[in-house]
Amino acid sequence: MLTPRKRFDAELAKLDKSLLHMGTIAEEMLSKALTALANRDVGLADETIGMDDQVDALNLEIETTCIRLIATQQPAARDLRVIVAAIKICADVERVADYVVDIAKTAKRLADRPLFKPLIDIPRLQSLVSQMLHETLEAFVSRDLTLVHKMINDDDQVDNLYRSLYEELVEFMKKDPQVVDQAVQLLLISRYLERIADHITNIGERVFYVETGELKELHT
Amino acid sequence: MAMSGNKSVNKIEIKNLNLYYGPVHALKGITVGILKNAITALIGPSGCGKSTLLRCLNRMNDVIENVKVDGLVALDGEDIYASGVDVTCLRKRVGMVFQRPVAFPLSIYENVACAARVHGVNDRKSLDPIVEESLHRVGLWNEVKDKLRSPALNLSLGQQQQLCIARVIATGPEVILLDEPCSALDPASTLKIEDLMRDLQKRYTVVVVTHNMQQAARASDYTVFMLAGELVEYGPTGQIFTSPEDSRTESYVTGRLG
Repeated sequence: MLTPRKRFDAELAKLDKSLLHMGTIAEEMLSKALTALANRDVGLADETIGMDDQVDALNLEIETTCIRLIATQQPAARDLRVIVAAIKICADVERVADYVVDIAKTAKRLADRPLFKPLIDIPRLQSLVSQMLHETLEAFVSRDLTLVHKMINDDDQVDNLYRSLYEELVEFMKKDPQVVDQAVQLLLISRYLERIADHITNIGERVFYVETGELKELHT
Repeated sequence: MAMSGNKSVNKIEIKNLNLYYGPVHALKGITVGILKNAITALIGPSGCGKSTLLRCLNRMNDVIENVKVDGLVALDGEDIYASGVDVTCLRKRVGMVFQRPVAFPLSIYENVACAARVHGVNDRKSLDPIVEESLHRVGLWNEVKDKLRSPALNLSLGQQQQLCIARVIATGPEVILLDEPCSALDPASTLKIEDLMRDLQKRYTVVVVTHNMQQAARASDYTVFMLAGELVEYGPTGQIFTSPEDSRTESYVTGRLG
């Protein structure tokens, strides 16, 4: 006989919803920060920075809920995996949002004059990272591990793109010291995007853990 | 009918309540409010006074000899120990379910109907809907609707406990007291009763005594921790089980006491 635990099941469903909400905000922030960079839009950069408070609040709310559920509901098996994964996932999403804030702040610093080169690879990097974040959130909701594996492959592309961007920017700096200031800022943005991708792979690993019960590094 | 949305209102107010069994001071200056439409759990080691406190809420201790009670227990602001209080009427408003299911050797129908009869409902026309509604509210109707005339004692223990709760509901109570309602039940029936408590809380105020700390954690909104006749700590259940204020509560909820 299946005995429902209605209240607990409702709390777990709410936890899913809050995590998804948090991830969606981070996704929106990422897109806004890069638009702010491309359009030299200080207002949009500030708006992005302001959204971080929502992410921080959700992070605390989710963690508090998880602690309470562990203390009061004696979770086991999948329920336990979901709760433990949620604690890790919300910490990773919170870090993603912090890096986006760093990108938005850098965008503000770069907004005072035109860039020495058009933005080509950074938008590509951002688009890949956004796609990864979207796939991971989608995998979290749909329990679809093929999306997790796809996202891990995307991360390889992110790493390659980051390396080539690094080399390109260093070349520019060697050739013309005038561009060093801007090039360093762009390099920082690339680095933030690359770090975001790593946090997203962590989230993917937690989704994998919830579904399979196996804790492992998916990135080889 | 009491519905949710009144969660910050105290249904029962207990102030400086003392109870003596002869020379034994069993409850020592208990002061606590029981919130309306919430589930409040009373926990503590054996002999701490939690069942005694529960029984004070509908004056079940009156039937015990040499019991002396002082202090205030107010239901909706009215002192239930005041002279002139009709105790039968009080127990209709504050119903009780016991540790072992007390199914009478009667039919399923009669087990529920008899409660309404005690309170003056006698004709079948009125009784039928009361019995059906009460069995519905405890989630038993679909299982028993085709065998209402068969003996209640043929039901499983879990179903008998649901039946006992239905019997309390048939009297139209405002508060339901449960004294270790699951201690005789298997884990699946236990979780079923816990779910039922959650449903009941929408209409009634629920107070449950439990030895099972995990049950209090799972199934209550507020927890009262008692020790040696005293109320040590009262608070939202989540807080009691994550960051209790008193070190004795901490010891109890972590399994290091009692």
